[in-house]
Amino acid sequence: MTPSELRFEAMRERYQSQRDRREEIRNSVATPVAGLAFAAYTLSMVTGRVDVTLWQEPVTGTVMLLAGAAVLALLAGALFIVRMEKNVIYIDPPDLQELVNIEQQARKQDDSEERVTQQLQDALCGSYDIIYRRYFASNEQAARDRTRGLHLIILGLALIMIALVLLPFQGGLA
Amino acid sequence: MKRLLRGLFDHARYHHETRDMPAWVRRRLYRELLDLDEEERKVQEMLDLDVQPRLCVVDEVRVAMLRPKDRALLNVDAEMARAREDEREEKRERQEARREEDRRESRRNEEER
Repeated sequence: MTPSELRFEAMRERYQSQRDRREEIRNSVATPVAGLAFAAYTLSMVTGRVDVTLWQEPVTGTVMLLAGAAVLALLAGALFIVRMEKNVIYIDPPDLQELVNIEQQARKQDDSEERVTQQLQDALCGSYDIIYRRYFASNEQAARDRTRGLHLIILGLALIMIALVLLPFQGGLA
Repeated sequence: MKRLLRGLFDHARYHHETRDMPAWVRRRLYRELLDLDEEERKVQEMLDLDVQPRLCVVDEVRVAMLRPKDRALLNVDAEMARAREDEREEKRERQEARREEDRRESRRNEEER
């Protein structure tokens, strides 16, 4: 294997790994979205049972506060999930026409097949490197947004659970 | 109502047609393109290539693709000129910030001496 081939193979693998990771991140959105749907259902149980007229009671007031905080956390989580895919610009390797152009330019300099192949391989290798770095940055951003979104949805669910536990005590213990 | 529904189905209906993109979408793509151009030049120098390897820029949401051969046509686009101006401005600001940082560093060094 020539150094040019080695470079090409190494960069192609890295590029491919980031492309696969992008798909994985996209697919993993299903978990927070399912959590969000479940949280909305559980929240409806809290809001359906809370007696708003007793809002001055400490327990009822706390339940209402918890439900409000849960709604905020869930909305913020949903926002992170939506932001994940927003404004992503993809970069693709040179298209066929560009590859033909690179080949023609290389042939003008030196017509040997070996050099033309190396020029093409290096052009692709450089392209993969640029795309890899860009995909890496955007994947990191997307993964961070997804994790933050998931954490906020879990927080929302936890708040709803506490509110559900407190719900039987609304209006005082007596 | 008709207008709203037309807007909703625009994306699906015109996928096969080439249409003008809104100015803000073009500007976003051009900024990306200018960054990319710089990186491509670096790669060309590093690998000693005869020509700069030009990549495709894709906006999946707006269903837009800038192919390498489209780049020659972009010089007449007003949004491209604005994107270039923005880039120059940003570079100038970055250079000024760096110079300011250097000045502070040298002042700190002098004080330490």
